[in-house]
Amino acid sequence: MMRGGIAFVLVAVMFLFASLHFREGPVQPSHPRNDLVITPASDSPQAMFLLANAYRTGAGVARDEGKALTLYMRAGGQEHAASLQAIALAHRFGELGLVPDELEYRRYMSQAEHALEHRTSARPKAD
Amino acid sequence: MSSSQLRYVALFLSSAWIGFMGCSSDDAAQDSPASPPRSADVDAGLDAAPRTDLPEGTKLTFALLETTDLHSNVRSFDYFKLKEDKSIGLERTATLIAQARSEFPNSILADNGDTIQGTVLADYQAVVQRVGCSSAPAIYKVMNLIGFDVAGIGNHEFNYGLDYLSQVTHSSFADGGGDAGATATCAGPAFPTILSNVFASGSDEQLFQRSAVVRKTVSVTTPDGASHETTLKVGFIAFTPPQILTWDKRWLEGKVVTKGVREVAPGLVNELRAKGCDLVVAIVHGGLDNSAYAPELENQAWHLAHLEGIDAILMGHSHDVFPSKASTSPQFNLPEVDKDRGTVAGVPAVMASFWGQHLGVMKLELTHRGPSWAVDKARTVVEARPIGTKCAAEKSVACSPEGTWRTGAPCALAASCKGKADSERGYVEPDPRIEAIVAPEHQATISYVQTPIGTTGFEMSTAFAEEGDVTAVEIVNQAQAEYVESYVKRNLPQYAALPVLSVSAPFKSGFQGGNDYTSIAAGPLAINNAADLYLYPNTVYAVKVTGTEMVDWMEMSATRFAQIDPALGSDQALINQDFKGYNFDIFTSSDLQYEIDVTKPLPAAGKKATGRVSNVTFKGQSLAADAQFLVATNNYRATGGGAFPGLDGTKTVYASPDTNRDVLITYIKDKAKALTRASHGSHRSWSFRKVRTAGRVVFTSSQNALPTAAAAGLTNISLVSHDDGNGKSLSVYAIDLSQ
Repeated sequence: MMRGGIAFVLVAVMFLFASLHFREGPVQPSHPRNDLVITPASDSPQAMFLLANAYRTGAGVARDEGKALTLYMRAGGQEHAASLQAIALAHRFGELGLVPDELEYRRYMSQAEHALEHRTSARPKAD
Repeated sequence: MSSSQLRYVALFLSSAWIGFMGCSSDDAAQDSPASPPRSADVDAGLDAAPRTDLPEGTKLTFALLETTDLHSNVRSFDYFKLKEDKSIGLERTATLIAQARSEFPNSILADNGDTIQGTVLADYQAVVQRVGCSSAPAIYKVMNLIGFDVAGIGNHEFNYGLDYLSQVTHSSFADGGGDAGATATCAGPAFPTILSNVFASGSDEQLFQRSAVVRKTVSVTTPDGASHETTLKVGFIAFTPPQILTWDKRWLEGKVVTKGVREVAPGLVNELRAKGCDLVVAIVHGGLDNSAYAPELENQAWHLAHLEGIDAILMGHSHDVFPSKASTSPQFNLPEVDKDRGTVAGVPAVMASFWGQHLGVMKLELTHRGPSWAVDKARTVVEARPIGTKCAAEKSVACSPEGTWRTGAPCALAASCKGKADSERGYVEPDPRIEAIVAPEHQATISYVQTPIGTTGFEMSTAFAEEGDVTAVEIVNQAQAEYVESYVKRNLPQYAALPVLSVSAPFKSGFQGGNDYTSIAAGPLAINNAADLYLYPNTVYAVKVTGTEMVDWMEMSATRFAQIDPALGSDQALINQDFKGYNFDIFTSSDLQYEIDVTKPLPAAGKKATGRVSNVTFKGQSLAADAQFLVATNNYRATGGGAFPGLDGTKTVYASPDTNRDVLITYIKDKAKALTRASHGSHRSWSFRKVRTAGRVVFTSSQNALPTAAAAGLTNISLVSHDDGNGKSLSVYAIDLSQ
């Protein structure tokens, strides 16, 4: 129980770090103590994605594929490419409680590609 | 853009509006037969009686039809796989359109945008062999054939630059290159393309036509039961994500500015209403977001629905389906969104997915009251009709149990599952006219994709990639490493001294059966082969990691293998199916060597993998824990995909805009050219730690593949049975881990 609690706090801190790290622009948490609670209410899709990974693997929290999928979906809703790809792959390989569905795989993978195009087209080409 | 150019644009657009914005037939601009229509008033029918003659209570059934995010998917065809793909393509949506028009003689067909970009066909016509002024891109040719009435401009329309966009939409906006007006006579859509929220910089004028009025001759029923014809005037406005300024900065910086729906829509709605429009429809290339309003919001349809005067919303951009009762998409589970009926704040709304997979259908029942038409909201029916369906007991699950669409009309897919197993899918047939009119462009694109970019002197295969064959992985790693090394040398000198390694996975690893492996025969290599070598649409990322972190990476990959008990006399499976092949990252550098001991246990759930990787050396020396490396990988892995330890996005030193696939194509074309096994397909970094097992260690792979293993030097593999018994064209093989 004790070890589980410590792990929970560690993940919470990781999540807080990720939330702050991946927000765009300077962020000052107005209620830092409250931010230690694991919540998917953060507006950082990368933070949601990492928390989804934690739920998926059971890293520091009880494994919960449903929560993982929900978080991937929330992050994907903000055009987080890796989340959309994770959902796509889950549809293809029947992971996260989903049944293999090639069309859903393609739908989400196209969304991942779409999101990547949005995120990358602004950057200068390497060549 | 110079001030004189801006003035030119402003003058042009100002004069154009006079013709464009009038809703009365007297104002309609006349087009020369040689030119596509430039007027916002599109008279789609014959002259009809003025609607003021209509008695109170006259009824009209009217439908809005929507396509969105077609992304130039004209044919049901995958240009990388070079084979038919019945699940996509406007040629099949066209069949649904024809059926819907038969069901609703009074209808308007609109496209939401993201139309001209997104396939090899589109790239070919825009970049490789740019379509000439006298020809429309294939997608517009087909849309003209189908008879679209109006279209919005999506964000991807800007991907090829303003010059191309100006040409193919025959829109005479200035692009900073002095092209204003020069392309007005070029071929393009024979329907208005509109965009309300993108403005020429330094001007109050929109870049595109800001709105359109589509005039349709419609058949109405007066209270006495008689049928009459009249004209319905439907005003359209269109919005694209303001993020185009970031996404296509290289084309748009300094040339255009954007505004949000609240800033633009009310004025245009009033303008259209003042001109006598019966309905106002918003084409929003975006989805739903109820965040606090800001003009920069990417998805503004939720806020648009709360503005006065919008009768219907056609959505797009997020490649989703709306309405969909079962949708778990967060945007469709927001307050005031009825994901079953298809309304947002009470306004009917539809989103027809992407690539022509759905047709949005919005049936509106109108009653003439006073001077205008009133929509009976309770009788509005919204649905997204698919071109394909799952089958269950030979029935289409996309249709109602009675074999109808939501409107009650016969479902076009109703008979598509007859005689099919539940594992199969049914599709509507394509419109046969479309294949013929785009045949030249289609064949040219296929020829382009088949153009040799190099040769391979050996078979490239993933059939035994998990047993050590690197023939289909090493070339990917070489391309990624060279790309990153080159970029770092030129742009990140602080990392120039670090060794650059690369990882990639055998993405096709048999999950779907014996044909689900990369397999490229010795001979010419073409662009389409790159899609077989690199399956996913990722972009190249480079991460900086220590020796310890690299071992963690190897350890995680090594969980692809099950734990083998050497003492067990029965067969044991080599592969841990809980860890998918797309996560089995493989290094292929002769500088880096390590062993994987499959007799060691897998990590407990949630715990870090450790203890299976040993004897890690770099350039012959034991790998130092604090040694630093750059590793080329993809965006998915670098940002945390697969939950590899330490890879959470924070170690990225370069997030490139280029896809791994394009990098691979460029590398083969410009650098590798003639691939040999010795140089491009034989450098293993890892091997199994040798162990003698009492029983066989078995795995499945494609059938008749032993010669592939032998050619790769894997002499420790033998055939157990030709067919694994699961009907997936897989054989069972054994690997002798003692060799």
